[in-house]
Amino acid sequence: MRRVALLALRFNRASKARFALLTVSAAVGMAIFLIVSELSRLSSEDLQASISAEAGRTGTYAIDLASPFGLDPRSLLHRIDAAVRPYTTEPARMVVIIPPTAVDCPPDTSFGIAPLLVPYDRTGVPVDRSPKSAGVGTRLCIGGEEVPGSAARLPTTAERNLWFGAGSAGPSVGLILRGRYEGLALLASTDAPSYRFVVVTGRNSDLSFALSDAVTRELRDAAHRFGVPHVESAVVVTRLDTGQAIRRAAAGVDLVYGLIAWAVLALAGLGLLVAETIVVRDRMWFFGLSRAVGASGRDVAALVIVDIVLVLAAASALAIVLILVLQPVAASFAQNAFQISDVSLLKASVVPRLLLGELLVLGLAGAYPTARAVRQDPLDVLEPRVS
Amino acid sequence: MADEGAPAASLHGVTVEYPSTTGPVVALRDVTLDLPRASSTAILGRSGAGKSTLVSVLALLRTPTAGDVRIGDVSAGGLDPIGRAHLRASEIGIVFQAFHLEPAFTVIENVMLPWHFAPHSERRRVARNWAHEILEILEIGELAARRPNQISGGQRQRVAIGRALFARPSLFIADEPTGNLDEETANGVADTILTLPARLGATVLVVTHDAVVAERADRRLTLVRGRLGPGDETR
Repeated sequence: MRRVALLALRFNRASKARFALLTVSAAVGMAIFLIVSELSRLSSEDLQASISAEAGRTGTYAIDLASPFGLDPRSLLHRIDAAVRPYTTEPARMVVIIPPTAVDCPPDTSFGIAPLLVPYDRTGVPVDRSPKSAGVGTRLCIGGEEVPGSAARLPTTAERNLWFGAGSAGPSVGLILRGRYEGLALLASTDAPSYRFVVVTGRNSDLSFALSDAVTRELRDAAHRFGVPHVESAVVVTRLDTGQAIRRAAAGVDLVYGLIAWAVLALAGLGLLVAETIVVRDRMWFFGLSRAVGASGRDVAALVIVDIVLVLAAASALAIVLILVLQPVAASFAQNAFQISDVSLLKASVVPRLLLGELLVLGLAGAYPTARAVRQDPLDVLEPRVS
Repeated sequence: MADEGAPAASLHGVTVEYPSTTGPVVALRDVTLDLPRASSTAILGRSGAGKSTLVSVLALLRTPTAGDVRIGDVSAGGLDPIGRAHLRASEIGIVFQAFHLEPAFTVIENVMLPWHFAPHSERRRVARNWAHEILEILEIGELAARRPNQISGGQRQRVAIGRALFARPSLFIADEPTGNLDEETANGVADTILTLPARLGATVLVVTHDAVVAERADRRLTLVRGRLGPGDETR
């Protein structure tokens, strides 16, 4: 193989102009492919982040249970995780919602009555972190008993978005209560708490029924044991994310960007295919001669493929140089067009895309000429078939 | 080759048919031929007699419709395409009427072409030295760095001969080697073809329509309409 590669290298040395022309063409194609696909990725990420902030993460659902059906929080979370696993790669997030209750110590009336939220971590243990700030900044009483101000706090925007969907605001969503006060709050409440699980599927299509069905099936036996014959009535699935039309439009824009990038690369591949087909046609007698002096079909295929690989290797190096040169232009374009700053086109993530692109070009440009060179009957090019 | 007593190459009942719109065309009919080691054989025949087909079968470039081809004691029929390519690379040298030299390569690079495909090959420097030695034997050593368009027709055919001898083949085949040369040059090339391979231990088969060239071979055969004719004679 090494000796065949040397031969291909020798051919390229013998026709420097052809090699340079093909290299530049392929390099321009690759550079445009990398720049467009990277800008597309960045603008898409930016767009998705904006949509997530304004309308929630794609495919976010709240699964509300009216009862834990006698299961402890850890088991409950484990079962919900098992039920939704086919639809998401992320574990479900759990929060216990204690119905609105008075939280001010008399005579204060800052909050009035508000739901209390107790988030659970991913192992099913209530979160007990003290707030970084001074909590709600007022005296709090739960069930008539004063608790420290750090026992509860207002949820952050991210928490509100997570538990109730983007755009939810105001004190009506409730206060986040530290885990150690959950028992006290439950005693103080006259109504039963509800259990909310938030699941992010990442898919645009509506999976409400599928999730409801999966959770119902998973909890049916526990509900029966608990004396609830119709578990369906105790499970409510609500989609929290909004703006489906914007998401579909964004997905369309992503697709168009991706198609443009790959089309540019495919064009480079087709250009190389035409050039390589001409080269192979001109070298057909040489391939025949090579067969006559001992080359196998595999050697002939290697000659063609190595020829293209050499062009692609040189083109990749040149494409990287081109990207370095075009980096300021691309950064300025990204800033003006998408308001994205700190654009860096040359990152480790570029390498797999570059390799994938090279494989595509190699496949496009190499398959037909290689097959043609291998199938060529050496006698047809070495001697006319007259006898 | 394992069996030193076996012919360098042999054909047994070889028939080659080509498909055509009017039915199969028979290019070789039941040809049986032994090429003894270190001998030279000339095959004479008119255009269309089947000479090039015979060459292609012996060079393992074509698989016969029927019959067996042996190179030494190896039957080509039992080999896969890669096995045939390896056998061709190590045991067969071939010269065509057209010189088939790569114009972008120097003379020595053309001679070294088989090195790139040899199944078991020596280091590049050793191969280069051997190529130089061949060029010296062919009396064109001073042309090593030239390109084919800078040398004459006779010199080009010598380069092609050098390329065919590079792998130290046991069978050297020349297909109309003097067809593109003037008479004087053709005589020189014919001398080289019929004496040099034998000096290097190779068996020579020359296919030609030139009786003067054939005259110099140890043995002459005639091919008529795909059959080896009765005019077999030994000098």
